[in-house]
Amino acid sequence: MSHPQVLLLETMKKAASILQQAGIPFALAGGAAAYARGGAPPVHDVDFVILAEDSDAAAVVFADAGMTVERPPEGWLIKAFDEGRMVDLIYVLAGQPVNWQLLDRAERINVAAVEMPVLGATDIVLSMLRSMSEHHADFALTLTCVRPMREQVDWSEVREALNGSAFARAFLVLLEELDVIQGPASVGSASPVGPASAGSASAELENLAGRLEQALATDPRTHELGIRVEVAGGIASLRGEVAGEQRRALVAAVAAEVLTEEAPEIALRNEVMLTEVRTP
Amino acid sequence: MIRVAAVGDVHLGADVRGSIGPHLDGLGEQADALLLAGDLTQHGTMAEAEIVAEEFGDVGVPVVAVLGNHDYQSDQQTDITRVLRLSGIHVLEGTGIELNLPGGRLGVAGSKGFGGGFPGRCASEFGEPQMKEFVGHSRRLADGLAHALGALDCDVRVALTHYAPVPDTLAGEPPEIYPFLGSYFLAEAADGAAADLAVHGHAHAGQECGITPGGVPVRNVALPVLRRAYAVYSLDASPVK
Repeated sequence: MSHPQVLLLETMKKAASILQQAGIPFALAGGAAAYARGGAPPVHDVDFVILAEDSDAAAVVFADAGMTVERPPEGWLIKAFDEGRMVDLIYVLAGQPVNWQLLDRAERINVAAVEMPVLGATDIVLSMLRSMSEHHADFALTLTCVRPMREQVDWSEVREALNGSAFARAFLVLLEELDVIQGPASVGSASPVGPASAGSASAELENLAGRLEQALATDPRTHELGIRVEVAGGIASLRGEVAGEQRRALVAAVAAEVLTEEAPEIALRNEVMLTEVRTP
Repeated sequence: MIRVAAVGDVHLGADVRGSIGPHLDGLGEQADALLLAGDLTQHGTMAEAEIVAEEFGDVGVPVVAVLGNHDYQSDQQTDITRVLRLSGIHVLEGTGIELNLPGGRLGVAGSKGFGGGFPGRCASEFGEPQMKEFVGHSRRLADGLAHALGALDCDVRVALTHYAPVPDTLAGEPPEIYPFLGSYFLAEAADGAAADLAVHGHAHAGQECGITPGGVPVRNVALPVLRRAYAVYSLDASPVK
């Protein structure tokens, strides 16, 4: 995690503690909530949902805490800035007023060492898909958030609730094609028990990444423990740092051997960098 | 004032011979001693140990080291220790050394340390023998460090480890691997002896500065974190003692 992300998590904790201390009911939402449920850390901002009736009080306590508070004219959220890092306090979530039912479905989860209410996984996915429009339909970002939570989401509920949205239907087809979820026909049918992706192509790629990392750590030519491998889109990417050019080449050679043996169709991309050393 | 230079995770080998040495030329003017926080070699071989001895054996100030997990890879840690000692490097494991420096008496206690994790999400000596052995190894090394720290007679006390004593300096590493990067046992040891500084390496993607629950400053000096050949920390010799 780079430093801006760490700072954003600090902002998230600060905002949660402000809401908690003011007694304002809330839940973590959006990308940060997906992070709390196993996804990648938030990059741009941190979203919370609150009740519309608490929005004035929330504006006051965030200003009191030293954050710059803005009320955009759209009238569905308040923005607070913690030294430039943005917190969205949303009271109309993707067109739906935030209500007690939504907050009640939130679960208390330990997020970056602080326990706070986090929206249910199904509610997170619903809000992300509902907010898609012709001007805002980032499938890549949504996929990163959704994939790690797939086992926590009630997909039949998502299908039913969003059947009218072309964007949601398209995204669900994408998830099926990528083997992230199963198609509607098999839901509730006598399909084998287990994760939607067990034995599937995507699970196999994840395991291949694991085997590549093991090889780089244990092969006597490399013994490199800090190389992260990601296999996606027919490419195995190697990332990390090593001490010299020869080691960078050996890392690629060892990885290439594994691929030749196990998955010759996967290409190798060596993004390993060299550790720079300066004189103090 | 005692100025302590420190670096870890240099991972030396024949292919990167001479990559550090040239950066150490001015070390003597900037620091009174140099600490090496483990992973001095890449594969833990004797040939690599000779290179470490070459690079760090004659830098103009006393050099104190601990070994890291890479230095154990070929089961030659005892011989590696011997080679480094022959070149004048003080290698610590559950032991300490006191150095009379211009700014006062510096005490360094060291251990490789080990993993297990940090409060709230750490492993315990429970269940399978392998689990007990893992956590037991970590605890024994931390006990050795605590004992060595306590035995030091000095003005400034430094805890030197390879594994991390706190999660602060791991920020940037995937949280899932924290239990393999350090143990709070090491922070307990540093706090128990009221150390003035704790220095570690191992976490290449972490960050430099942290602090123990007891207020001991922690510095992750892994080379990829520092991006310079060494960091220098100035420590005040306490007026008492």
